[in-house]
Amino acid sequence: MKKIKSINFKLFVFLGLIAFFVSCTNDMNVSPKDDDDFTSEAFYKDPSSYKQFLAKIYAGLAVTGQNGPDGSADIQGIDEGFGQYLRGYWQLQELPTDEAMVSWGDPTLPELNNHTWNADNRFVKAFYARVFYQVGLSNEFLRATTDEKLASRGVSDAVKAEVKTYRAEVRFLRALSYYHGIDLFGKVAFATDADLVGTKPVEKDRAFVFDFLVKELNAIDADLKDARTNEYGRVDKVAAKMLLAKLYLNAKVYLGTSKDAEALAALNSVIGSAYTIANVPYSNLFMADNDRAAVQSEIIFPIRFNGVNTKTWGGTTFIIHAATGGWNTEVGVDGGWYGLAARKEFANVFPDKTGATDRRAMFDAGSTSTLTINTVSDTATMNTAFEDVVVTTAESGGTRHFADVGHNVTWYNGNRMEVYNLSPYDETLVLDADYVVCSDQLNRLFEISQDFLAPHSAYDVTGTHTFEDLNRFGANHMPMAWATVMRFNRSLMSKSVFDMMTMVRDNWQHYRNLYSIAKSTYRNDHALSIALNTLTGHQAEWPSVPWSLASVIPDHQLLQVSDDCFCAKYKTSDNKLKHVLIKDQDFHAMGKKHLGDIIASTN
Amino acid sequence: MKTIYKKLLVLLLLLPASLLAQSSFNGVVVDAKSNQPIPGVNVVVKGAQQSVTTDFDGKFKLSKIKQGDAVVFSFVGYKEQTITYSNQANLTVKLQEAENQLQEVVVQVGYGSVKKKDATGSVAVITAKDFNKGAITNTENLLNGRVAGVVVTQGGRPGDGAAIRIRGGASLGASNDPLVVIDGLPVNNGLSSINPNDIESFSILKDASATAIYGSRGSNGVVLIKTKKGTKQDGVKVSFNSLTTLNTVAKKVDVYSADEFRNIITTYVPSRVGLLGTGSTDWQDEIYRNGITFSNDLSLRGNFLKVIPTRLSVGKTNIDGVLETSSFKRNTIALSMTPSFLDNHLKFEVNANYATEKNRYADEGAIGSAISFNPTYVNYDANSPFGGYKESFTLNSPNNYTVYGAANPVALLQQKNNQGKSTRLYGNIQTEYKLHFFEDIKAVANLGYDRVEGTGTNVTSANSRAGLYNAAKLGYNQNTWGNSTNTLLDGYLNYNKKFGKVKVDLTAGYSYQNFDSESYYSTNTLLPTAEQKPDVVTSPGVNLQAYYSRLNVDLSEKYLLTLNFRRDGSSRFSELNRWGNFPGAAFAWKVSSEEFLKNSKTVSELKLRLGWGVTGQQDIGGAAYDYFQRYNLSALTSGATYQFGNQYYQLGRPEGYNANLKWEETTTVNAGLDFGLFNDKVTGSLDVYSKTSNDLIAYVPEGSLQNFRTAGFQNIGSLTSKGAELNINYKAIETANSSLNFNYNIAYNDIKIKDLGGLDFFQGSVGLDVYSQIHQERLAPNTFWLYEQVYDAAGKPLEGVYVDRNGDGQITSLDKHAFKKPNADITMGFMTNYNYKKWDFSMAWRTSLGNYIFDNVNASRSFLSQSISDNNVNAINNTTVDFDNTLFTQKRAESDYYVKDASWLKLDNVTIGYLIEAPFNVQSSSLRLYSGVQNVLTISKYKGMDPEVFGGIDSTIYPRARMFLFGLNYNF
Repeated sequence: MKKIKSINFKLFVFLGLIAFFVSCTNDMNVSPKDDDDFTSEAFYKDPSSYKQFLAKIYAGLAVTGQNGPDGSADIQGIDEGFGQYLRGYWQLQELPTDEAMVSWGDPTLPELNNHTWNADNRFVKAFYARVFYQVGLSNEFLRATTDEKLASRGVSDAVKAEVKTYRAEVRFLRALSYYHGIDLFGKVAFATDADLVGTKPVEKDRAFVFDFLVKELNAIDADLKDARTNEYGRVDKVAAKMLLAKLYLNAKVYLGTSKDAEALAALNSVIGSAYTIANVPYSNLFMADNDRAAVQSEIIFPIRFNGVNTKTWGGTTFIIHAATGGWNTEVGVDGGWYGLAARKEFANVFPDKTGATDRRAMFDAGSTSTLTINTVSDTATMNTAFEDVVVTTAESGGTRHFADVGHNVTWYNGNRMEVYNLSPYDETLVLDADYVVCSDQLNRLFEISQDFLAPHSAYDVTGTHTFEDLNRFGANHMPMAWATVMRFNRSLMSKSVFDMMTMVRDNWQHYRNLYSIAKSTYRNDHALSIALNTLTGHQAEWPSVPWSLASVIPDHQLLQVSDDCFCAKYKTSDNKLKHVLIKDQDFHAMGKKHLGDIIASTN
Repeated sequence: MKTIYKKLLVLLLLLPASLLAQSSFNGVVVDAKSNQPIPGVNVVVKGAQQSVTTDFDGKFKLSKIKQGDAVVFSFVGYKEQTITYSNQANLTVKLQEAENQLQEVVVQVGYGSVKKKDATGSVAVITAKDFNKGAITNTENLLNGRVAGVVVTQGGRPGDGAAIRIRGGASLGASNDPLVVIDGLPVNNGLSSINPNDIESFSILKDASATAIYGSRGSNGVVLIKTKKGTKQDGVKVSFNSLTTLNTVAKKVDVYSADEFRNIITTYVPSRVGLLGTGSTDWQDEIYRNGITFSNDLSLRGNFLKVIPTRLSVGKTNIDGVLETSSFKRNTIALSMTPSFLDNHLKFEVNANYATEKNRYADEGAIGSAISFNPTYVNYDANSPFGGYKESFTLNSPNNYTVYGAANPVALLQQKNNQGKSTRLYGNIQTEYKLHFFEDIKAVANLGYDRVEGTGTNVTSANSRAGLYNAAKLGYNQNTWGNSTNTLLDGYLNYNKKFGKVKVDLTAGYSYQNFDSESYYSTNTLLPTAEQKPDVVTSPGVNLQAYYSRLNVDLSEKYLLTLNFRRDGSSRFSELNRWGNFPGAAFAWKVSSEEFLKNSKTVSELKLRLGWGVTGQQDIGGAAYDYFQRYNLSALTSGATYQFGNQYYQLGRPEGYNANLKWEETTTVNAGLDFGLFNDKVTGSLDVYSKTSNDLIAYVPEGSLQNFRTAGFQNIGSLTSKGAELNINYKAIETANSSLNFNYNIAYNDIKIKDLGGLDFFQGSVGLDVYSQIHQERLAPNTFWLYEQVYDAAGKPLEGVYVDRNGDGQITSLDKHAFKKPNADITMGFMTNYNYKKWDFSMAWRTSLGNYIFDNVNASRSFLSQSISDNNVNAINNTTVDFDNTLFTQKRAESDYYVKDASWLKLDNVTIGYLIEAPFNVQSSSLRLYSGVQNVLTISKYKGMDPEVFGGIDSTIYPRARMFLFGLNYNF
C-alpha cells in the first residue's frame, strides 16, 4: 500500500504540471513594466495625458527625442541633432542665401552653401523626416481625441473643453508643418487624421495643400483662444492669422495667382491684435531669458528652449554656438563651434554697423564686440535664503599683512572647524564673511551628491594676477582647496575633514615645516588643503565645487554699483586704469578693507 | 495533453497489481578493461520474446526468466557474450572490446539523445578528443574551426565571448546567434561565465530537420552542450589542470614614426610645424604590454554516499589583457549530481553552477588614439593640468579648458577605471521517471534557472580630458546595475518500443520559458542633480511556450525516419500571429547494413540522409514589443520637457509600432552522407543544403506619415543560403606506440538576398551618416556599396574621382556599386594530432577565403584635412602609412579603394605535451605537461592588424594576443 501512496503523489505532481501549462498561455500577453512606458489604454487613463501629448507636438519643434539634448530619438537613421526642426529649417532657409555660410565639412552640408544639393542631401532628408513626423503626431492626436474616444474613456467635461482647444492648436501645428513642407519641397506626402496609421499617403501638389491649409486655419479660428489669453508658448487666433498671411503672401508661387489682398487683411488683423512691441532694449529680445513678461507681448509664437529642461543640439543651441568662435564667453555660452558666419555682403547691407542708426545691426567684429547674450537675472527671484545662519566664534588665527590697509592686522579666523558641531543640519554651507553672494549659484552645491565640497581653484576676476602661487602651496606645489566656501553633509568624511583641520591648526608649526609653507600665519585654506590631500591619499582628486572661485585681490579696489553688481578697479601693466563689472556672480572679496568700506557706506 | 493524461492515469493505477508478480534477473554490464558501465547494451533472452537494453549506468533487469535460459549480451564495438541463467543475483557482465571498433557516439538531439549512427539530421558531435588544444580560457574556443559550417569569431578582449555563426545565419535584422542549450537549459546570457574544462561535449544541430524540434528558435542552428558528470565507481577521481600563458601583441598598426611624421607635417602642413614636439614615442608600445593568464581548475568525481554520482569542480581564471589596464577574473563552481532510485526508474540530474566575473574594461578608444596621437610628443608634461599627461589644450579661464586633436592614449587608459562585476547562478533539475511495468514510457520534467546580476562603476578622473564638463574639470562617475532571469519548465513523455523489425521512439512535451530583466544607469553622479538622468529600465519580459513532438521509426536497422512537429508561441507577437507551426522530417538509409555492403572491405559505414524542416526566428532584441501601441513619457529630469506658461510638462510620445509583425520562417532542405572507409580508418560526412528564410524581420526605413518613426521592424523579403560541407577524419597511424590523426573540414556557403520588396537598406556606418554597405536584392547581405575609385597610370587612387557608372554626367549616390562582401565563401579547419609513446603533438589551422574588409582604420584617418591637420589649428595628428598611397586631402570613406581582400590562413595553435605515468609513485595517476603557442601565424594580403574582423568593417579591434603557454593536467 505504501507504493500506491507514493505513486499517487507523483501523479498529483504530474496533474499539477498539466494545470500549470494551461494557465501559462496568458503569460504571453505582456505589457510594459517600465515606469516610462504605457499601453495606450494606460496612458489615456490619466487626464493629464492629453496635455503631455500636446506638449510633445509643441516640443517637436524644439527637442529631438525623449531625452535632452539627445537620446531616445524621434527620427532614426540620422545624427539626432541634424533632425531638430528649427536647425533643419534654418539651414535650408539661410545657408543657400547670402545671409549665412558654414565652415564645417560634414558630408553634404557644404552643398547647401554651394547650391549643389540633390536628393542625397542628409540635411534635406532630415528636415523632410521631421516635418512629416510632426504631421504624423498631429494626425494621431486628432484620431485619439475624437468625441467618441473621449466619451468612451469617461473624460470629464472640463477636460473635454480643454481638449477642444488642444485639437485646434494641434491642427495649427499640423498646418505650420505642411506649410514648411510645400514651401521647401513643393509636392508633399499627404494624409490626415481621417487616414489610418500605416496607410501609404498620397502625393499632393502645392495648390491642393494650400486650399486645405486655408480651410483648416479658418476652421480652427473659433476654437483657438483670443490673443494673449492662452498660456505663453501655446498659440492663439493671432498665430493662425499670421500663418494665413504667410500662405497668402506666397500664393503667387504656390498657385500662380496672387492673394495679396487676403494677405493684407490677415496681417491687419495681426497688427490690430493685443500683441504690442515690447518696451525693452531691442537686443534683449535675443537673450536667454527673453520669455520674461515684458517681452511676451511682442512674441506671438515662440519655440521655447531651456538650458536645463528643454535641451537640444539644434535650435538656439545650434544657432548661438555654431555662430560663435573664440569669443563665446562674450555671448555667455560655454564654447564656440566655429561654424556659422554672416557673409560680408550681408553685413554691408547696413551702412552703419554700430547699431546706432539701425538697432538690428548687431555685429561682432572681433575684440570690439558689444553683443551680449547673457542671463539678465531677476533679483526678485534670486534665491539666497538660507535655512539658518550660524556664526562661528571669533578666535584669532594670527596676524596677517593686508595690502589694502598696508599693515599687519589680527584676523579672527581660526575656528572654522567648529561648524561641524554647531550646525544642526544634515547639509550645511559654510561661507566666509568676505564671500559676496550675487547669484543663486550656491544652490547648485546642494545638488551634488558628495559629502564634502570646497573650491579647487580660484582666479582673479581682472585677469591681472595668475593665482598660480595661490592655487598651489608649499615647496611641493600641493593643490589648494579654498576654505572660503564649504558645503558638507553630516558624515564621517566631513567629520574627518574638520578633525584633520583642527589637528593641523593645533600643530601648525609642525605641518608648516612638513609642507614647507613660507608664511608663518595659520590659514584655513592650508589646513583644509592638507586635510583633503591627506584624506584622499594625495590623489588631488577630491570632489570640488564645480566652478573656480572668482576673487578680487586686495590690491584692486572694490566698489558696489548696485544690489547685485560690483566693480573691481585695477591698473594694467601699461598703467591704464580699468575696471571690470562683477554681476550675477558670487565672488571672494580678498581686500577686507574695501568690503568693510562698502558695508559701512550701505549702513 | 488531456488525453495523454487519461491514458497515463490508467497505466499508473495498474501498476501496483503487477508489482506483486515481479521476479527478475538483475545485473550490470561493464567494459572488461575499464570496468566502466556500458549503457545501451542489448540483453536478449534466446528463444523468448524478451529483450531489454542497459540503462545509462549499464544496469539491466529481466523479468520472467527461467533457469537455464540463455541470455545474450551484445553491443556494437564489443564481442557478443552469452550467459546461462542459474539464479544469479546482481551479475556483473564484462564485455570484451572488439578490435578496431569505434566506441558508440551518442549525440544530443534536443529532448533526448540518439546514437550517432542512428541520427537522421545533420548533427556534428565534438567531444573532448576533438576539442582544440592550447590556451583555452573560454568555451567557444573549444570548437573554433572544428566543425564544417560553424564559424566562431573570438575577440581579443580578455573574457570576451565569441560570435558563433552556423551556415552563415538566416536573418537580416533579427539575431543570427544560434540557440545555446546547456544540459537542457536554453540560455541567452552567453558562455563567458562557463569554465571550458566542465564541458564534455557539443552537439551542433545544423539543418532544420534536426533544429525543428526547437521551432521558432532553431533557424540559426542549435548548440547543445553537455557538461561532465560524476561516476558510480568507488573512490574519488581528482583532476587538476593548470595553464599559464604569456600574452603578447602579435602585430601593431603601421603608423609613421616621429621623424616620418615631422616630414609629413613639414611637407603638407607647414603652417603647423610649431606643434611638433622634440620627442619620439611609439604610442602603440605605450598602450600595449605583455599580459599573463593564469587558469587553474580542480575537479572531483565520485559516488557521493555511494548513491549519488557527483562531480564538483572549481575553476579560477585571471587574464591580464595586452591592452594596459584591461583584465578579466572568473571564478566558477560547478556541481553535478546524477542519482537514481527505485531500480533506476527514477533518475535525477542536478546541475548547479555559480560563477563570478570581474572585468576591468580598458578604454579601447586608446587603440585608435595611439595611432593618431602626435608621435613627437612625450608622455609626461610637467605643465599639463591633465594629471601631467601631455595633451593639446588651451586655458580659457582658470580651470576651464578646450582640448584639441587626438587624446593621449596612455591617459585614456590610466585616468579611467571602468569595472564590472557579475555573478551568475544557473542550472537545472531534471527528473526522469520510467513507469514501473510499463518501461517503454518515461516521463521527464526539467526545471531550469539562470540568473545574472551585475554591477559596474565607471570613474574618470577630474584631471582627465574626458573628465571635462562644459570645458571645466568635473570628472565622471557612473554606476550601473542590471539583472536578468530566465526560468524554464519542460516536461515530456517518451515512448520507446520495438515491434518486430520496427523500433518506435515517440516523444511529446511542453516547454515554458520566461525571460525578465532590468537595468539601471546613473549617468554622471558628479553633475548637479538637475542634469542627471538616472533611470531604471525594466523589460516587459519575454515569454516563450511550445508543444513539441518527435517520432523516430527504425525499420530493420536500415531505414530511419524522423518526424518533428513543434507549435511555438512567443510573447513578442500579437495574439493573431503568436503561434506558429514548425514541422520537420528526415529519412536515413544505412546503406552499409545492406547485404551487398555488409562484408565490404572498403566501405565500413555508409549512411544517406535526407532532411527537410521549417524553423523560425523571433529574437528581435531591443524592440521586443513592436506589435502594440505604446506611449513613452519623458522624465521630468530628462532635459526633454516643454514649458507652457511657467510650468514644464513631460512629453507623451506615441511609439511607432507594427501590429502585423510575425516571425521569420526558414525552410531548409539537406542531403548528407556519413561514411567510414577501410574499417573506419577514414570517416567523415558530406552535406549539401539549401535554405530560404521568408518574412525576414528587418529594421527598415518607413515612409513619411506611415508610422511614428522613420524606421522600424517589418517582415520583408527573403534570404537564401546554399552550401556544402565536408568533414574528414583520417587515422593515418594507429599502433601501440604511436598514432597520427588528421581532421579536416571545409564549408562553402553562398548567401544572397532574394527579395527585399525592391528596397535598399544602407548598413555599416563608417562615419556620421556615411554607410559602406547595403542590403539589396540579389546581393549577399552587407555587400560593400561604394563609389568606384579611379586610379592613375601608376595605380595611385585619384582623389575624389569616381566612375560615373550611370553616365548621367554627375556623381551621385546612383553611381555607387556593389563591390565584394564581408562573409567568406569558403572556410576550412585542419587539425592534426600525433602521439608517440609519451609525447603528444597537435597543430590547428583555420582559413577563410573570399571575405573582404572595409579598412576603416585607414579610411577614417589617412587624409590631411580634419585628420593629420586637425580641424583645430592647435593640433596635428599622426596617421597610418597608407597615406603614402593615397595622399588624400579629404576623408574619402565612400571610395571602394578601402575594400580589401581579407582572406586569411591562420595557424591557431601548436602544442607539444609529455605524459608522466604514476608520478610521485601514486598508482593510477598521471601527469601531462604541455607547452605551445597560440595564434602563431597569420598569412593574409590584408595589411591591417588582423584580417579576422567580425562584420567586415575594421575600425580597430582589440588585438588578439599571441600566447606562449605552459600547462599541466594532473589526475589521480
